[in-house]
Amino acid sequence: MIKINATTPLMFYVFESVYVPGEGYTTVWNKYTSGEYEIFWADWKGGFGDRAIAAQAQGVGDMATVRTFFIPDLYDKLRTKRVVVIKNADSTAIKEGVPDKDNPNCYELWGGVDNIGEANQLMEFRVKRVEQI
Amino acid sequence: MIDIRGKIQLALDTALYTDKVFSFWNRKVEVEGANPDEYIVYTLSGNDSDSFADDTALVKSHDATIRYYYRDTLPHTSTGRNKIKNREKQIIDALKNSGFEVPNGVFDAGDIDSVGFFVSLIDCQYWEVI
Repeated sequence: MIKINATTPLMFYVFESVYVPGEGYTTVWNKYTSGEYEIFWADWKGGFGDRAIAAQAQGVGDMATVRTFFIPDLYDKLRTKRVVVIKNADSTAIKEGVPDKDNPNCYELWGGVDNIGEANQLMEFRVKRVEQI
Repeated sequence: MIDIRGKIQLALDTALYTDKVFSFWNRKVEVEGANPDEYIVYTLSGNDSDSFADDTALVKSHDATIRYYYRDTLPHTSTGRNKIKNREKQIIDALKNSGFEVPNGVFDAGDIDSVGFFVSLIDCQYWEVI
């Protein structure tokens, strides 16, 4: 059985948009909440060695691998929408409702998300620093 | 000066919103509920003064380009091809009904963005009396 050391608090912001006829679209970054919870704990592993080198080859300078608990709704959002991951639940990483790309705690999903072993217990995904909003 | 962007948005939405064909200025954005096979991106390409009297412009010509994107599998069937041509006509009618001129009709531009969608280009103009 896989065990994780979930010591890093994360917040998730989901990019969503609505369309109003005659006006066009309006986009908004909604903080992800599950019931009353908005902070989720995860095992955060920074990139080094082979993985970091492979990421560099793709032009990614700062990446990490994240393991956290499986939350069906969040898993679905990670698979289908643009999601920004805020490391250390840094409240300054969102400025005027928009992720601050200059903030070092502002990451986004990179390379999909895995429901580990399809066991619905843990999920793993990689993130990279947000470079463009 | 007239809000030409708003006028185009309103014209296209009035005609196409019921089919969930959404229109975007400059850049397409993922929107929930959108028709997955068709969308429109429009850009404004100039508003020059055209007719003058006593060094004062009387008329302004607002130019815009409408790009109608449709999935590249739609032309695989006769139904799909008819749908595309009908949609192009619907777009042109919508523009004309809002006072735009469509001098050149439709131009098949192909998959210009390499995104699996073909593009029909429609140039239009709006003459504003100042």
